Amino acid sequence: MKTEKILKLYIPMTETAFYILLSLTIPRHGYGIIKHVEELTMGRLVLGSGTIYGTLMKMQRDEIITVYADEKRKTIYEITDVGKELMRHEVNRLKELHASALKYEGEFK
Amino acid sequence: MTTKKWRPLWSYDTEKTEPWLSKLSSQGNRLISVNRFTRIFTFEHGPAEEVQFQVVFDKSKTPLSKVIKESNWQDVFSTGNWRFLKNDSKGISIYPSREGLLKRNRVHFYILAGLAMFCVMPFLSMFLLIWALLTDINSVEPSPYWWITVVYFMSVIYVLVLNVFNSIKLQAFERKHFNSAVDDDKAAIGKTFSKWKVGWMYAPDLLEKWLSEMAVEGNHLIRVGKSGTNFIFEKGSPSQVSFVCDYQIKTTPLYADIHKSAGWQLHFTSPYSWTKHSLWSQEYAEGEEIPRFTYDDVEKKAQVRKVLLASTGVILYMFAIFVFYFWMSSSFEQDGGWNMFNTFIEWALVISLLSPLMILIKTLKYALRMRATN
Repeated sequence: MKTEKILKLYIPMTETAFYILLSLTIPRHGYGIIKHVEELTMGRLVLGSGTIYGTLMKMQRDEIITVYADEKRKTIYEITDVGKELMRHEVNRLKELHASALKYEGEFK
Repeated sequence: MTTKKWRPLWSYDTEKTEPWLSKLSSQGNRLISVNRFTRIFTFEHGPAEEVQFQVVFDKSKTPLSKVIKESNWQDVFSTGNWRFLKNDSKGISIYPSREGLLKRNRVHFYILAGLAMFCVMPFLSMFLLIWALLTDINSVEPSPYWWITVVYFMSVIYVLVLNVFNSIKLQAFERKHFNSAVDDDKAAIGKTFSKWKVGWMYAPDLLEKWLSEMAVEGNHLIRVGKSGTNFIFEKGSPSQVSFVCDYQIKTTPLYADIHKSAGWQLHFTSPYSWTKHSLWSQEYAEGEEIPRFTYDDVEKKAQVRKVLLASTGVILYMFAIFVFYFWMSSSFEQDGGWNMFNTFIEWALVISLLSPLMILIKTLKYALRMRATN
């Protein structure tokens, strides 16, 4: 799939998709992703294995992530270059969102 | 100097093909090409190499990922979607995914199974023919076209044998590399007893609730029969266990591994990757949040829709058979002697129509319950 198509399909990202990709700064096992997301959000976002299964399979189909196996035949997930580009776009969008939020938050007091 | 070796079923049995390639390599045979159509492997004689081979099936045809390259995997030869990789390291800790290969062989399994089903009826009539040949050879008319019958007969046998071979290898491969087998519980120490449950796929929430209540009473599920109707429990101390009956229209090879890695135990799974029903459990401590596959409301609703869709499919299929039979019997002249038989079949069909009706009611009640709780 073309990168523009991927960007159109995934941005704005769901919170689940965003945190899953964010936790793949290093390759991880499925459970490693769940635990890391829990730590990142300080327990606010607890993902079920069904949730990450669905999201990871979609991302793998769209070549945002890739998989390989370790010596115990456990699957490890890794972000691809397409995935990294997607994250850069999303982070830029979030920065803009954040800047706007800071700029105008006073108006809502 | 080159050597050629024929290995017709190498792709259905890569578990043997890979060590075979490594062994040949250690004897100084360097793989230079593989012909996908003639199934011939060509080797060139050279210095002996101690390497591990892996056969990869990858439709994306992207270059090897960084991690795989850093783990010393090198391309030896590729043809079509096939890729032959080797690694000369001693302690290899990273392996390319075998998912593409499993998916490819699964597709072959479904195609072969379809062909086999298609062939079974003519095949059975073939047996009648052989019977006639064996018992009364004089009744056979000589014909120059008998070879067609023989060739057909042989090819049907070939398809059936190939299908059985593929499916055995496929299951073993999936169990070994994708952790897909049901988790074996240690042999029961205490007293065991069994209970029967039929049609739980259409009311998954009730089964989950029942099993959790059984666990609280100290009855631990240790095994589910292969057909998924017989539940065997062991008497023990009470515990808090969450059960999930999951339904997937289509599963990828990574399905079982991801849930198992999150601490779920697999008790039952239907045999095919399509329309998969499976039963999972996870123990939790009192006061902890009850573990589930998803905590997301949208996903929960989507799951209910999936179950509804599956039931609708089963109901329509059964109904189609019913309509087809009556259409057949009404559009053909009936022979008097078959009346009794036909009446019997018709009644049997009417009675069997009760089962789609039951499925319908069960599923609708399930959907209503889910609507009330969500």
